[in-house]
Amino acid sequence: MIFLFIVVVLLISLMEIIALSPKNNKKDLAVFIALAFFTLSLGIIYFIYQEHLSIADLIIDAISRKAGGINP
Amino acid sequence: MSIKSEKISVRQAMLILLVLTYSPCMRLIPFYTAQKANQAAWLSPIISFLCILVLVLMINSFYKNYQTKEVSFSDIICDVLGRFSGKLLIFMYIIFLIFLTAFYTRFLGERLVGTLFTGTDTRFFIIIVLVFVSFLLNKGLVVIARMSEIVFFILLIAFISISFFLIPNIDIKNLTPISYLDIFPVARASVGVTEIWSYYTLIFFFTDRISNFKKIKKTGLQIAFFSLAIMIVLITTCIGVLGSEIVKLSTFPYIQTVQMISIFGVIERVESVINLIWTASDFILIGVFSYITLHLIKFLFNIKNIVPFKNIFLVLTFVISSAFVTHEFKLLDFSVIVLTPAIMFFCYGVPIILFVVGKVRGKI
Repeated sequence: MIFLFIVVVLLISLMEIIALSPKNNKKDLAVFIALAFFTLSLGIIYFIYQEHLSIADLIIDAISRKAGGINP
Repeated sequence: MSIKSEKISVRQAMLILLVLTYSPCMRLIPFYTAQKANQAAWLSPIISFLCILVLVLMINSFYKNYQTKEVSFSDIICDVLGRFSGKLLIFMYIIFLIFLTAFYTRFLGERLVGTLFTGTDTRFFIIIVLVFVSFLLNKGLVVIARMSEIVFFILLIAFISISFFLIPNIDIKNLTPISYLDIFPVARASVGVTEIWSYYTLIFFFTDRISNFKKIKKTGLQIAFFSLAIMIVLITTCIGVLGSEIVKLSTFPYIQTVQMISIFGVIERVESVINLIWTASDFILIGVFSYITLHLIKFLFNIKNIVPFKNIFLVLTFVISSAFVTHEFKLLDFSVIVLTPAIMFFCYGVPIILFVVGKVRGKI
C-alpha cells in the first residue's frame, strides 16, 4: 500500500512538472527523473528488506571500518 | 519556489531558529552533556556561548561585503570557494540536510510511539507529518515564520512554567561538586550544545528572503544570550531532578523529568503538554529543513520551478526515515556517532573554512 502511495505521489509530481512549464522544462525534468529514480530505487530496496535494512547501521559500520574498528 | 518570494524580518528568522532548536535541545542536550560531564554538565552552555559568539561575528563579517545585494549563504559559498568547489559543497549540504530531515522525521515518529501512542506503526505519524509539511511548503516562508512566532510564545510560556514547577524537585547534590577537574569534561560536553546552536548557519541559506539585514549581528547576539539562559535552565532541571546517571541512560530525559511534576497532587501528567509543543517544534524543524533543502536544490541545478520537487523530496524523506533504523536506541547512537560530527562540520566548520579562505582571497 505504501509503495503504491509513493508511486502515486511521484506520478502527481511528474504531471505537475510537465503541466507547469511545458516549454523550457528539460533541465527540470532531467533533475526530477534522476531524483525520482533514486527515490524509487531506495523505496524498492526498503520494501524488499523492510525491517532488516538500517541506513544508520550501514553508515556507522562504514565509519567504524574506516576508523579500523571491528564491527560485525 | 512556492515558496513565495515574500520576505521575512531578521527577528522572525531568529524566532524560526529558536523554535527549530527546541526539539534537538530536548532530544540531545541533557543526554549528551550528562554523558560527558556528569554533574558539571550545566556549565557546558557557557563554553558553547563563546563558540557561538565567534560564529555570529564570523557570519556577520561575511555579509558586510554583500549588504547591498540579495544574497544567500550559498551565493557566498560559491563566491568565496569558486563555482565548482562551492557547488560541490552545496551538493554535500543537500545530502546532509536530507539525512537530517529524515532523522528528525523518524525521531518524531519514535517519540510519539514511545511516549503516547504505544504499539502504533511509526510510519503512520511520519506520513501525517510529511503531508502537513507539504501543505506548509506550499504556503511559503512567511507562513513558516508566522507559525514560528506563535509556537515560540507558547513554547516559552510552557518552558518557563515547567521549569518553575520543577524547582522543588531539584536536588543540589545532583549538580555538585564542581572542581577544576571538570574543565575538560565540560568542554567535551559543550560540543553537543554548540552543535545545536550552530543550526544558526542553516538559517542563512535563505537570507535572500530576509529583509533589513543590518540587524543580524544585534539580533544574533540577543539570541545567543537568550539561548544561554534557556540551556542552563534545561540542563539544571534535568540533571538536578533525575541525576546525571539516570539522564545518561534515558531516551527522553526531559519527558521523564517533566513526569516528576505534581502540583498539589492534582495536576499531573504534564508531559503531554511537552509532547504537544515538541511535536510543533519538530513540525517547524522538518518544514524549515525541507524548505532549505529545496532552496539549495533550486540553487544547485538552477531549476526554474521547485514546486513539483516538493512531493518527491518528501517521499524521499519518508523512504529514508522509514529505513533509517531498526530500533529507536540506534537513533541516539547515530545522533552521537554520526550526526554530531556532521553538524559540527557543516554548521560550524564550513563557516570557519569560508572565513579563512575569504580572508586569504580578499573576498571577506
